[in-house]
Amino acid sequence: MKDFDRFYFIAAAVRETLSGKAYAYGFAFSSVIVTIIYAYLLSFSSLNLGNVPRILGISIYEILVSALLGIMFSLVLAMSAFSIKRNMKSSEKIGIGALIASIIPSSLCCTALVPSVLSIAGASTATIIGVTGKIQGPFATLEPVFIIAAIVIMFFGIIQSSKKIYSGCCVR
Amino acid sequence: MAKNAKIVGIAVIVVAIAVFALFADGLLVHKASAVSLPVGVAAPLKSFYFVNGTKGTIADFKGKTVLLYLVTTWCSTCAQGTSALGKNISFFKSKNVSIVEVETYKDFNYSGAPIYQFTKDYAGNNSSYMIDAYSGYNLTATYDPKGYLDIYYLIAPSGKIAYVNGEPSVTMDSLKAAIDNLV
Repeated sequence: MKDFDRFYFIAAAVRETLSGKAYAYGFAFSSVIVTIIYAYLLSFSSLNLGNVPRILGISIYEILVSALLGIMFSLVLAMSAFSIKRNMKSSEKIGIGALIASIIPSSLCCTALVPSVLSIAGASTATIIGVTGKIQGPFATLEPVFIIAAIVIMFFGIIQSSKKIYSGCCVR
Repeated sequence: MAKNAKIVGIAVIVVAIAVFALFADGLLVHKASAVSLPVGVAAPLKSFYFVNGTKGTIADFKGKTVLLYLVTTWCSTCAQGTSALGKNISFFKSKNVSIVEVETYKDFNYSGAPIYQFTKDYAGNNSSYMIDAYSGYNLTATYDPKGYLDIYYLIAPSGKIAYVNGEPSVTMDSLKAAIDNLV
């Protein structure tokens, strides 16, 4: 309980998870790929960031948030896989929930998806014009809320997985 | 075996979500012009309103090449598109292309920045080359019947539609090629 209070168990669980080469390489590879995907999705961020410094055309906001989401999501995946292999209850649902929360703004706003769905559903032009903004607009303007929610969910997932892994491996 | 199946199942779900997100983002699907006005027809003379309140139509630009760009000012891809146009202003100037950036009818009922502020924010000083306007209902309904948040039409000096697409940040090369073919 003392270790749980100090969050020491998170470091121990992460160390235990990534001590295996397969998990370490998988985590590293996944971090890179997921970071790149997030950097692409967030490049269409609705935030008017004005003159935020950019590196190779990518804003600091996009780089930091993409890296954070990429690393955290990959860690959730690695720890979930580790837990499953050792017959522990895993938190993959939390990971998937966090993934969905983080990509919702980019998917449901500012793409052809919502108009296409409305059109397939038989909506008239007048209906589409009247409704599409009300559906997509909030996702555009609330993007930071979704990102923060995804980070919180992922962090919760890491804590949950860490408690189980730590209890299973490090408490003798 | 069951554990491996569970891991594989999770991986499949993750990949499916990623593919869905990329598909929705337009990466895996070329933004087709199938749900817009066809190339070759005369650009309909539907009204828009300049920021000073006066009414205009495409007829005001007869004899000129016009890029009519419908945007929604809370839309991120529209912001990227406006930024892309701003970065390529010298090209449009060299080809004598007038850029008319029109806010979709009432921003599709979700409030965004005024169009002149939007183009200034994302195209900077180059926004002075763009002509800002607000769409009447009929212009949005005619040029963007499926409610895409952004769509653009390249209109030839003859008044006919020469090219249609969206997301200039992604399709800039195709747009430039279409302009080169016209001029």
